[in-house]
Amino acid sequence: MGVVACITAAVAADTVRVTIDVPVPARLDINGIERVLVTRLVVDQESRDLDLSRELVTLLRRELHKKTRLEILDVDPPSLPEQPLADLLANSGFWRRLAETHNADLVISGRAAFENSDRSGFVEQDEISPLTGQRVRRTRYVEREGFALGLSLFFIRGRTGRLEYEDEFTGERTVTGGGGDPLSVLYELFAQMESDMIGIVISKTKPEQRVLFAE
Amino acid sequence: MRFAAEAARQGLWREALFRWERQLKAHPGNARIHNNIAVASEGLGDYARALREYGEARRLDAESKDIRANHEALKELCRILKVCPEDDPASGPATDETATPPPAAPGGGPA
Repeated sequence: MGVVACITAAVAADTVRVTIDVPVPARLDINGIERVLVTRLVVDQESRDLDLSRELVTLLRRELHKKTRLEILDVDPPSLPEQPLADLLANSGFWRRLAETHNADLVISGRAAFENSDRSGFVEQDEISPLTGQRVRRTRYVEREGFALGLSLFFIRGRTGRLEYEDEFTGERTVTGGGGDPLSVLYELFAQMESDMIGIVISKTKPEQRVLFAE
Repeated sequence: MRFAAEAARQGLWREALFRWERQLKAHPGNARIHNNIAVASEGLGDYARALREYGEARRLDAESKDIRANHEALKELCRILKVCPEDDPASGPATDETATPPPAAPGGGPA
């Protein structure tokens, strides 16, 4: 078990703080999984001028390709039948046939929502007065736009068509000033989630700090 | 203990663990040695033992903030990552039969 430790700082005369790289196993058993198909996503809500499913599928496939040894199938992401999500996830016949068609060991699908909202309002800010040089508190109107991304991922075993694992990721970002670029914010929010997402299919290490007694 | 801590600093957890285990035989009521063994056990991926040793260290020295912080951090890791055995006591003092009461003074014992 690969472990790296280093004393990062003495926290007291008789103690030392060490960093341990704790092994974290993948959350999904990927034994026997090589070929992975990513489908289109079910979209609950999306921002203006943005094909949310296409953007997220592109990002997800790119990260899986870069950071895992899995073969990510480079095909048009298959569409999903229109039915309630619970029924869709339980539709093992559909998933099995889809996997057979693409010779995929694992199918990844999901549901996504990307909302933006006006978060403008009055805020209190401390400023240095140019007249007196003193710190003063002023109330100002600030234009702000909020973005929220919610993404659920479903991992379906191709051989059985059964849902093996699901996880949910959420992120928020507030942009000061109007006319924030939704695509840039989407990429930023996805980047914050990608490490956790990739941790579903690959083992990682997590740095943890502990205190040792030296005396 | 300083030599063992130096071994730990270099990532030599087995070497450090061997030395702390030897010290524990001479001073079984030393909470600090139990804590260090727990940290080494984490480093080696033996989370079940780490939980037991932290529990014993806290039983021996309930006042130590460092031991408590280490123990709580491991319990949180177990909760989030599910890396610990499910039947392992993730809270409360250990019932390790190797523990030897009565406890020493908090944090006490030889270096």
